[in-house]
Amino acid sequence: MYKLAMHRLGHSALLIFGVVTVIFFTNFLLGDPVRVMLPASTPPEAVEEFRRQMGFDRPILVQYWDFISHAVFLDFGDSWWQKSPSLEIALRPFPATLQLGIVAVALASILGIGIGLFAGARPGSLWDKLATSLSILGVSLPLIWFTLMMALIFSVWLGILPTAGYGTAAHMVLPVVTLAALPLGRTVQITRASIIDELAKPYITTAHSKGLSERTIILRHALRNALPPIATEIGWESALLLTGYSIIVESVYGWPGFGFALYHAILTRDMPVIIAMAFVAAMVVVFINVIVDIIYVIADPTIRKK
Amino acid sequence: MSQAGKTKISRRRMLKVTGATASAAVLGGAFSGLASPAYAKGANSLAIAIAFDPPSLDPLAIEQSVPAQVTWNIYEPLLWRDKNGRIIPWLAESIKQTSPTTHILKLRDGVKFQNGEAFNARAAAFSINRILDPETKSQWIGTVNTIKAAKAVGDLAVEVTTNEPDPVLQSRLTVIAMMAPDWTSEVGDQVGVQTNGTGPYQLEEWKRNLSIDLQVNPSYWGPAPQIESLTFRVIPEDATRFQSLNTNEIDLYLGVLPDQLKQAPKYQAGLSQNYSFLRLSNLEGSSIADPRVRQAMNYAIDKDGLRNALHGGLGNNLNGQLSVPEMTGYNPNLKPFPYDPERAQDLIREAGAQGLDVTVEGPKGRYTGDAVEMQAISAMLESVGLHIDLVLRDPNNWVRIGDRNQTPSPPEAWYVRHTNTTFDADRTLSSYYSLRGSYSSYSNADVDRNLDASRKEMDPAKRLKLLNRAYEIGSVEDPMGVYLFQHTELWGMRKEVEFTPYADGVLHVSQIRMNG
Amino acid sequence: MNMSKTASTTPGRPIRSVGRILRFLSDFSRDKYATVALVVFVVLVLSSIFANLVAPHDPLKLDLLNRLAPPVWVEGGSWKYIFGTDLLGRDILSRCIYGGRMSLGIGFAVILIGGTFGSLMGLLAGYLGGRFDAVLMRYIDFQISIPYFLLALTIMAAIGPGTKNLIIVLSIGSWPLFARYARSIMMSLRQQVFIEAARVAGGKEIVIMTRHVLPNILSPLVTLTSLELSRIVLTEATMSYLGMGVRAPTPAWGLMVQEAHDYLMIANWAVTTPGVFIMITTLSINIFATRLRISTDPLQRGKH
Repeated sequence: MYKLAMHRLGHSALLIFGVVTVIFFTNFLLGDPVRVMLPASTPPEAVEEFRRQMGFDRPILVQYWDFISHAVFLDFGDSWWQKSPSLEIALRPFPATLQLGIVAVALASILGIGIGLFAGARPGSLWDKLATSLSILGVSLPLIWFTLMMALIFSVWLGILPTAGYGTAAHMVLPVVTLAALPLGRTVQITRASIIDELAKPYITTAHSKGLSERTIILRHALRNALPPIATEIGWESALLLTGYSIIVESVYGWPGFGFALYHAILTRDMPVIIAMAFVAAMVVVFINVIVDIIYVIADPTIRKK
Repeated sequence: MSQAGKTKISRRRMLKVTGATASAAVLGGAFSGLASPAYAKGANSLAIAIAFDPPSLDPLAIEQSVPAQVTWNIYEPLLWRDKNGRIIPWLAESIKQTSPTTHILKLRDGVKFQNGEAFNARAAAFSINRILDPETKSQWIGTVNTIKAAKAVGDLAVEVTTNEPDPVLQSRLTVIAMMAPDWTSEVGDQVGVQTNGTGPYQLEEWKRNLSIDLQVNPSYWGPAPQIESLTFRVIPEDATRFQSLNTNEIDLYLGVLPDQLKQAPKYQAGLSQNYSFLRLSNLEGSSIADPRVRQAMNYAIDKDGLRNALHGGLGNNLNGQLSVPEMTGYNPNLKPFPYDPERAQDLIREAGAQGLDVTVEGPKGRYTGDAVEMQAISAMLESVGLHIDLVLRDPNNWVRIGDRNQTPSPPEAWYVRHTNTTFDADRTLSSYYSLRGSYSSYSNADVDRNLDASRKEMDPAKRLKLLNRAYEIGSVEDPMGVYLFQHTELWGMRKEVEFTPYADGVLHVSQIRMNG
Repeated sequence: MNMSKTASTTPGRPIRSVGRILRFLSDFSRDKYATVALVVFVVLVLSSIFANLVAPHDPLKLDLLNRLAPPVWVEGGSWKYIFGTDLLGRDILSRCIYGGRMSLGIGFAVILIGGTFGSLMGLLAGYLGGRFDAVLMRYIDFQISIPYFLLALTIMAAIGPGTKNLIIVLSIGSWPLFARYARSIMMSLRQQVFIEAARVAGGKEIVIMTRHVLPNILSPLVTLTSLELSRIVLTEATMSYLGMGVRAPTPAWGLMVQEAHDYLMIANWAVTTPGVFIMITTLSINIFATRLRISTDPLQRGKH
């Protein structure tokens, strides 16, 4: 158990380091940051002066060392666009996205596991066909288009929901529903498949012969054993939603979250912020992996003994 | 949270049946009661949508149109412009030239900053010196760098020195916001996050990425504005801003598309100081070095057709120069190139340039509708016998590619919209008609001679002649570009809002009236 | 990415003879959903390949006088432009057909590059085992645990948008799935009795691979490939929408949605039509893949 934990810790550190390094190098080797920061008609002397002030005239490895030696103390430098610490800019919009992500994932998981259970318990039934169709529809939705259509229908035509903004429950409906569609479809698929797999196993027959009710068998045994793949799936969906997948939804609905800030950082090529955001994203992934691991341990006691 | 969780579970059975879309309808219905109060506002309040969260509210550091919409309601300059673009006294009551390189400004008495600090010559000199200070890293530096320094010469008199005689000092002074020296040193690096101006509004709260709330400044020296509370809401997508206007969530925003005007509750069009053109290279090695090809490219564009289709017929065609009548140096004798595809084909044949490969570079997402305009222009150039390779780049790479210092050879044709809020030809000519500007791909000895002479010429009439001649050379003799349009700025607003845009594009909320 | 997880829950089962393949095909053709989905998809692919023959107009040709013309079934529409025109008066139907060439082309290119490379690496790892296998799997675990979207977006922002760059970036995101999958199949097959039997019977390695191993991995691989294809089509659309993918004026579905976004309230058909094309593509692929999985997985087949 201890060894496993240490192994995971090392893996996590490597993951964070790797992501940050890859992004640093692709961006500094392949793009020139200075030009973005000054208006087009700036005289060249002023540009060179600016480049020198920002320290971009130094060799790339020197810049990398400078960057990484500060980054270990969580100092990612100041944003080029806003003159404040980039980690702060990366973290500031995070709560709004967390709010959105938690509600969307919760909605998708509760509905998805519920529908998946029903469908998996009676494969081939009308319920199952409906659930399967729904899930296929969910995973086939082009998010860009779905987002725009939802705004058009519910805000403009029906006028029952605000088009953009943050702060009230009404503002949350459209972003949550659009973001939940895809995870819902996939959660239904995974739950259904896992339940079908479990119900075919010999222990279920044993349980039946013991006279346990179907409800007990499905909820107590099958679901519990099917939990790891479902947890992995939900963990993955959470990671996705919290690390920039919400970019389109947030910019269309004006939700001041992580995706919104990422969109802007990418448009302005604000490298310190992009790197700080990648760091935050990597941390989120690590954190979610830990939670998924814990669920695995709960679901499967044999891991605990290792 | 637990309360919300409970209701969700109880609704689960019902929701389970429905798809994602249907559940949206159910939830939507449940929340519809909440929707209206969410964006109800007071009578004397105004909500303006802006495209992005300003990087900083330091008016001396940032030169960008979006933050400027906010900061020019908080800060004010010494001289400003009226609705028509004429320079008028503002925080300075008068300006007097005392030598070829020095001017004395007399300041308005009794003006205070919002924190109570007095506005005086010390503050004015501080602000001018601060914009020049390399530490400020001001994006205005290219506009104001002819100024050497400023110093207080009395409590309400400030002396401004320029490096050389500067015929357009007054227009440079219109962009320098007045800041309080003591407050600035007090707040340190919070100078872009907090504000303290002399203007009609003061910052109430800045909710990052969401909104900037301003309240009226109760001790404002000028007449009290009607709008008392003002919110700038950050809405990045054009389409969403338009929808928000139609659902009354916002009152006003800049950047309505001409096609949207029919559906906008109300709009105002103001001519902007943005001139679009296709910059053409006459440098050695350029495939379109022959002036006849560049003339042909001008004749090939159906400017009226394009303007009617894409810009709703608004704006003006440029008269064969990168300038408009309001601008000092404008040459009234130049006419727009007519749309004459036959003549274009003849010129191309004469030059032996049939089927010539020309790369046209342009931005996508830098200006409203830029990519669309580029695609239309390319198609028109193709139809007169050139072979156009259109490259649309993201704004950052597009800017980089246009800079002579960063590309081994500048693109043959590069689309850009030039902005000149100094209202003087010097900035335009030195940026694009001469290799002095790093964004130029044009060199003509005759133009350079006239431009150099104009910089030392203090007699306005003689100076005008020199500038006129420079424009003339760059028009037909040796075209600097394909001259397109002076663009309009389209403000969309609710029916109740009374607002006329200013010629210099500055948003004066204090001038806005609300009916009913 | 995680669609592959769905797929990987059903490892390949041996289908040993041509007869069984035929039986599978006849089974499959009796499934009307799958057949319809497959037909729709094939039509999409064919119209993309022969776009220059099928499309009624030049997708780049402007018609400024007829810009934002509505589709034929809306008042003011005409048969000249069946699905209407976009903001430059270009025919939306033709652009959608050519857009399919771009979107599906990118999808297949990514599958070809990422899929071939990944499968080879996976098969090799599974076959060789040992250190190569360990290092490769460690790397793959590492890459798969990162949501690739953010990384892809930042890399595209740095190297600049464009079709070639997009294919490279998406392939880098795609190959580990194929590798992991191919490896898992190789591992399970290595333990299968019939291979051992073939080996004992004196079969050459290469013959064993092509005659016995390949047919068995084909069907699950088709499932994985289709799910990947649908995911790539969606990602490509998103990236192009964000300006980090295909460049204008090249017609591509995501780009068309983005270009028409501002006109949503005036000309919603310019947004809807490319959106529906994306949706039809992903739906047909997903229905096909789901049904294929059902018909090749005896466990599920029994229940239908």
